[in-house]
Amino acid sequence: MGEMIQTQRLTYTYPGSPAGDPVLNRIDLTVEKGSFVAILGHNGSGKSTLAKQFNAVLLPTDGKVYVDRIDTVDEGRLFDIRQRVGMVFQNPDNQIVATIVEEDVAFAPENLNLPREETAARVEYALRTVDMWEYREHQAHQLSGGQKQRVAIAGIIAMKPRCIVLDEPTAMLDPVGRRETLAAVMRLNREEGITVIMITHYMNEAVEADRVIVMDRGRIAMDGPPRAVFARAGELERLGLEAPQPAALIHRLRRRFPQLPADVLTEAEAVEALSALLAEVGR
Amino acid sequence: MNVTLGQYFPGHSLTHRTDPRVKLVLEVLFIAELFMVKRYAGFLLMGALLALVVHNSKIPLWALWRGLRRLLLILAFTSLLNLFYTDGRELFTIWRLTATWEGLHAALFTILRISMLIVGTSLLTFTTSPIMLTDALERLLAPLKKLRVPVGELAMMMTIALRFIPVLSEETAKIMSAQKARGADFESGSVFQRARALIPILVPLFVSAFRRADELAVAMECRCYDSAMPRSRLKEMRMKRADYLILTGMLLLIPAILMGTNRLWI
Ligand SMILES: Nc1ncnc2c1ncn2[C@@H]1O[C@H](COP(=O)(O)OP(=O)(O)OP(=O)(O)O)[C@@H](O)[C@H]1O
Ligand SMILES: [Mg+2]
Repeated sequence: MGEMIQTQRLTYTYPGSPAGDPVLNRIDLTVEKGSFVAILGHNGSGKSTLAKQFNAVLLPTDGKVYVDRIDTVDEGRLFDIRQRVGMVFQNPDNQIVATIVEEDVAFAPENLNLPREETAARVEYALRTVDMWEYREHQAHQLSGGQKQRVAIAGIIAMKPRCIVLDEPTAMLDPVGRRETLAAVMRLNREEGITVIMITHYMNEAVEADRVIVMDRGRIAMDGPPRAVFARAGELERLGLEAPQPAALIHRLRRRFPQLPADVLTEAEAVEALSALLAEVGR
Repeated sequence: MNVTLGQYFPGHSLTHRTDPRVKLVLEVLFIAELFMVKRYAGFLLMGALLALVVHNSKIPLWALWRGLRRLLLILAFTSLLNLFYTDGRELFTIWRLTATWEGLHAALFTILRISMLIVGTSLLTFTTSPIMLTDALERLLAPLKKLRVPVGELAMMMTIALRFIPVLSEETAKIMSAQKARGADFESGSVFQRARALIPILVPLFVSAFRRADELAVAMECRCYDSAMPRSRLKEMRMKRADYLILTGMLLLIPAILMGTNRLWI
């Protein structure tokens, strides 16, 4: 498949901030093309700073970041980098530039100076992918939070990126908006083959990823498939995180019933493990 | 809070589809004419023209009324001033104030001018999306680029301003009710006291506006925006035959109304 993003001893300190531990501390990370990576970590662990390195919004103070083999410090290829790796932020209101939905989605293709037919085709493709095509003539500020965030995602997809980085895209949304947005993101990954890197505080969203990375004070503390990462509940707790509810429940019960499996992830698996336990105890 | 400024009612009527540059030029001509018409017959014809456009655009009347309603007080006040403070033949006298025939006409003219001005400009923003409007302005002002006026950047600023008017007015309302819940009082006291009561609203509003601007700038960069680079457009602006017809028709009709009616006695 090849690597989408690769960092080598990536180190970053915000300009003007006091010397001390850098915000990102010698990070080595490779994200494969087509994968879905979730990034977790407590407040201030450096997740957003890391994300901004992936499309050259920030440049490393030390070390390297490669996007599709392009070094992000290469100024001549800035547009190539930005167009390959799209970025979606927490607050949809602050990402939507134009009043009308379709005009906003057209913003990036217009910036790339694409011909009108191509721009129109991409707007339609992007809005259909996030299921917002019927709203193309609506005013963005009258939409619900989840709809606005999907418009913001469409605005990125219209660049035809190979990778999308989302920084807590669901943090400001209600449960319905959160579900809609997550569904759209998963569709991008599974149907469109776009590499997804999603920062989130919601464990049930991270469960959907192929790979979970936990950040701690500018370093990568844990890295692996969700099942493996969430099985290490004690370690997660020390990093200020909690495993998804079913995993946390089984983990606690395991103190009394060590025969329970260690790698339970979903509700269905928890139910299965518990009924097996009941059957055994009842005997 | 109801914001009509920059509001857009999507549609596909002839008024909606007319080239925004044509609309903008005709709007300016229309406003200039409003201030030069001196006869009721002129206002009647201009009003008929406006009614025709309203009918064609299918803009709901309540939306136009909402724009007018806010100016009702000012209109009433200036009409009263006109009525009593214009010299001329006496109409009637209350106490020591004498209303004159000339004053009555001046008052009616003011009401007609201002309300037709509001309806005319509302029609433009109601039937033209903000992007098209700023695009049209950018193209009409393009010659100024030679004088190093940053026309493209100004148009982008206007687009963003129009986009954020509803966002910020919603936010203002939210902050105001939050401060009211803490006992803030915006309605009583001297002008000075009331102005001071606004500080706890303005400070958080500005802080949030700056944060938004910061985030928006990063988001725009992420979408490959660079003011120095040429940009294409989703909606191409090309004058069609209908646009030329409307433009020439109106360029003849509007001055004709003015010259024809100003000679009449009414
Ligand atoms: N613009 C900035 N200038 C200086 N320091 C900053 C800046 N932005 C963030 N920091 C600092 O860098 C560290 C990491 O911040 P970052 O925003 O990357 O964390 P995060 O993991 O995204 O946190 P959160 O979960 O709150 O979003 C924090 O200590 C923060 O105070
Ligand atoms: Mg963050």
